Amino acid sequence: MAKNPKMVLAHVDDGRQQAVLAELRVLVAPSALGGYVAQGLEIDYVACGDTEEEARTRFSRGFVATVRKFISRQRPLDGLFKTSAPAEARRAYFAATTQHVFRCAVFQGLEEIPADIGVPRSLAFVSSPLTLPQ
Amino acid sequence: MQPRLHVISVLKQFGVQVFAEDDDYFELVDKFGDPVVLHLPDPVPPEMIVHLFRRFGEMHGFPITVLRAKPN
Repeated sequence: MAKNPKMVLAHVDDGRQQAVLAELRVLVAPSALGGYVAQGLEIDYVACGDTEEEARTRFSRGFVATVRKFISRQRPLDGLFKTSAPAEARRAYFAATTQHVFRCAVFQGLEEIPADIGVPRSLAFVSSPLTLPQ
Repeated sequence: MQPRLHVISVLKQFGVQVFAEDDDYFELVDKFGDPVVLHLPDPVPPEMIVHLFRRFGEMHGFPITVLRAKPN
């Protein structure tokens, strides 16, 4: 993680409630056999779809579900870093004109907070037309 | 593209725990108990096959070829 200061993965655990905030770069590119693939760079996570939007949606849902499973299984989040994304994905990301950044906030054990309280509960892809510094 | 049934069968055969979730999502748990939830359509795209091998192949001791029931 020290090699990549742009990535954010924060985990707060007070023993009763947990929150995970993540921000990572995701290559979204056409697949070799049609459709699209979303490949996380800092965290090696992959989702495919018939459309770019579908690949992003599946990435979001699957990644958040993965984080929830880590929490419910009481596994350290280090397990998200067992493998590395392919080097060619990193090169393609920085060569692309549109660079996607995925942000999410995952809360566990905070269900008692009323829905109208301003706690971030959603996740989003953000596309930047600018090249991010490496 | 590989048949999902074959891919899941191979993962189970080599000790990966597989739990079906909703809408083609599956929770896969490695031998250390670390999970990943992946969308596995049927058939499974080649990029996902490569990812599954990267994530579980070396750890559970199988080559990528066993995930491929037929050549792409």
